[in-house]
Amino acid sequence: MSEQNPTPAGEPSQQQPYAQAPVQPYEQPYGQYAQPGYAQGGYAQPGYAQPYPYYAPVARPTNTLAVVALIAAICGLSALPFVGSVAAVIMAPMARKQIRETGENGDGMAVAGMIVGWVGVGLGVIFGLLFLIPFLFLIPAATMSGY
Amino acid sequence: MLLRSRSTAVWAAFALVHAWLAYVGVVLAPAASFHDVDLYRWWMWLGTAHGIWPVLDGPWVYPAGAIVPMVLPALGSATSTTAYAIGWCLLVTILDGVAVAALLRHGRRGALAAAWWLAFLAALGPVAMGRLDGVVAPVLVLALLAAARRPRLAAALLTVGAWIKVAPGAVLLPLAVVARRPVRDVVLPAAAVSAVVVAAVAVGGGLADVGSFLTTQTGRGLQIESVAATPWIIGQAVDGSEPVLRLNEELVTWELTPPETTDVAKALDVALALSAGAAAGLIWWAGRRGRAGLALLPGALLLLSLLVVVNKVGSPQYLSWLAPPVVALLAGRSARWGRWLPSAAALLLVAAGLTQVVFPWGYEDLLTGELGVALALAVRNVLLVGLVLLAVAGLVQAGRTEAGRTSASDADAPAGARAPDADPASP
Repeated sequence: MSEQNPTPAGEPSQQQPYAQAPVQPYEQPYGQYAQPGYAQGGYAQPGYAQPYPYYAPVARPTNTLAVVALIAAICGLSALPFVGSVAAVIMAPMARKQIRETGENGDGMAVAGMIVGWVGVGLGVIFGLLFLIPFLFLIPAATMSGY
Repeated sequence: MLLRSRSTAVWAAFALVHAWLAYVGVVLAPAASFHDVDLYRWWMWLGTAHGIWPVLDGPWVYPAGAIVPMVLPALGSATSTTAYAIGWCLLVTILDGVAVAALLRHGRRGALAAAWWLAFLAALGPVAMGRLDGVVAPVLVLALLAAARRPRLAAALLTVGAWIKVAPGAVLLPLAVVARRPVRDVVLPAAAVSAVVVAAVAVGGGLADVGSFLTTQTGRGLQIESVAATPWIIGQAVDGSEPVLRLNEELVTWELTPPETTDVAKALDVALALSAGAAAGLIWWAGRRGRAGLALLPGALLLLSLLVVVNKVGSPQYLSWLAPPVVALLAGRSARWGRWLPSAAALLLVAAGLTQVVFPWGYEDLLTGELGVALALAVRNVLLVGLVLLAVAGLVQAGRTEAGRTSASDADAPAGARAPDADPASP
């Protein structure tokens, strides 16, 4: 926790400025209306009438919490073990709920954040147990030697 | 539904790869693999703490724009190696994330291209993250994806990249060659971005050194990882003779000492200019004969791979530049590319993996003349030469794709064109 970089504040408030700024310029903020299945239908057309749709005209903004959850999951496996993973596991379902309500992009990111977050939590538990087990054997030994 | 699970898989892979690279660079082997990041921190510490900025207060090996990505992690901490490295990883991760998000919006092939890129980053290892080139690579991906429909945005992005780490500027050449209105679509945006950068440097009082990155490297010798150094490296490993290396302490790189290698290094400078000129001619030919838009990406791959192969430096992180054209090609329609593109993609993955074997893991063995690592480096260098040949094959094929088959006005979007072109135009 103390080695976390920019400001030693809590994770979400501290990661948001990074997370928001570069992602949003590439979105077109005001999608006229949600076209479900646009991506699938648009690309599968055999005639390929549209040129490479790099800037999809109806792209919706990406949910910020999903981005933060994914970054927290990445931190949980590298710079901020366990803490980042737990944060990701908490934030990802919140992000998915928001996405369901607002129709924003980023569900894939949120689910990925959840999966990788749980991987981090699992690894954290395993490593925690590996450290704890020797102590569990030490406790009876210590109490025995007291007699 | 299918699309969503595909993007979930890509994002999960994205998180795992970036977490692994950050873990290797920050925790596992920071001294071996993230040495340069600490150098960036040192420069930014001199700036933030003492007001001595590179370029503004003296010549620098990088263009002035490189200060921007270097100073961002320093806003958190310019004194702690670990904190700065974490900030740097966060910056590269976010830029890569923007590029992957753009790829995922590209549809099914975009997801495939993103998956290939993530595999490439994992294969190349920590230098894919802990170098300035890791900042430039996602910018290149975005520029190449935008090139077909928004050439001016692409030109601006490439110029931004060039003011950070030079190499993306090379892609301006094929972009201008295939553009319908080169001055309006490429030269003007590039000039505008450059004017802003030069003006900013002038305001900071560094106009005298704004071009210093062009001259500070001229004294370099032949670096041991460069393709041209292969015979000496193999020779040293085979006959176990005296080491032929010395440390260039100013740039912290290992160079060859035999006197004839200085001539080789000088010859490479000339050869690089000549081969880039030849490549421009080939791109021009392919753009004129075939559909102009098709020549851009193979042309970008050819120029960038020449920059690596015909270069006296050849640092491991240079491979980061080679992935973006392959990523953009994979994200487009593959049917028209025949067999050269899958070959190039596979070859580059192997070359990236061999690069990681050499640096950081086998570097000390390479310096002492260990045969295994020297062979890995030699094979890597042969593969890079092969990549140049495949890019030439791709350009030739682009030139042979008949322009008349579709409406010529729609260069990048052949409506309904199948263009099976089964002949892979082998080199």
